[in-house]
Amino acid sequence: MENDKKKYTSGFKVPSSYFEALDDKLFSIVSEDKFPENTGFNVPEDYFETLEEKILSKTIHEKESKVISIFKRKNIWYTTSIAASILMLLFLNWNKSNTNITNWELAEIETYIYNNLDIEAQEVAQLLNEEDLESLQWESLSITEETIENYLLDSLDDTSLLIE
Amino acid sequence: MVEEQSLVTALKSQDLREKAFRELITTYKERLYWHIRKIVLNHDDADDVLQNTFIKVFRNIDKFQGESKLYTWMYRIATNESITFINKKAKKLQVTSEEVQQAALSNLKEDVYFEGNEIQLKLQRAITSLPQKQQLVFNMKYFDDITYEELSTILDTSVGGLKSSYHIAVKKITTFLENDETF
Repeated sequence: MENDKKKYTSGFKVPSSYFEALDDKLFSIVSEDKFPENTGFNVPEDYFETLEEKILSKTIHEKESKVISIFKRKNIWYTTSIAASILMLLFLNWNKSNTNITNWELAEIETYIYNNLDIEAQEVAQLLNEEDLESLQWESLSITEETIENYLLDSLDDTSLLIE
Repeated sequence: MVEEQSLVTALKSQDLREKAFRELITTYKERLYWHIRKIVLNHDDADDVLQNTFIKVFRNIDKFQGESKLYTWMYRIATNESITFINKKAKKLQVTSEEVQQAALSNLKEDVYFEGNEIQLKLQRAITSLPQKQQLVFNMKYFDDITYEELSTILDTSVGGLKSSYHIAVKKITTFLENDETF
């Protein structure tokens, strides 16, 4: 019997693991018949009709604001001041509103922003136009060069940026 | 394929990109929406993720090299955006991503944008009980009829692995539907 099989082989072949996978395949097909065809999810009326405009207003039609790349500025101190000032302004605002976080250190504020606010540094930069930056009163913030330097050393990975 | 290539070229062109982007949204909005919706379950969340997906596509189209189909590239972005959305929500609420999905699932019965019957709700429960990867494979294969080859590009997994994941998912869902008597 064994010899006969070898004698009359057809020459046809199947992909490797075909028969092993066949059980699973058939089981899935039979099982799928018992599953509902649709999810039952729905959308509000006119949702898809109004979607294009919504997306275009956030992309192509987005009001162009002047983006200031903080790493292209020649004067690194200017950039540092922006970062430090934003932190300081946030700190002062929290103080004014008498919340219970008045004693927070800058580092804690930074951690809070990182963990709780869903924003990236670039997005913060995009919020500020040139006018906003000019209106910041640098003198009144009285940030010493040492503070700025420490902040930079702690925050920047590439210290070569500090070398002017 | 030629059509897709010309669409990509138009998307990268300053003059033609608005028309091309409109065409892109019109063509893919529904497919991507339903893909995202099956992951996040809630309409408002799906809307947020879908918009983010198109914004990402718009901002990154110059980086699209045409190594995969535009459609699978967008599916990949949509999948990543959906998972990131769930993970961020979990981090914010200080719970696991599974708990976020369970919470979304338990709100389905009261959801005005869910019109499913008991068996459809039961199927959603079964799908949510699966590990995330199996959920994705099942949803995309069963509901969206995406081929294993395309799935392989989207999920960066071998075809063999995907087939195995799908069959395991089907088995688990079948068992879940047969045993779950809570409805």
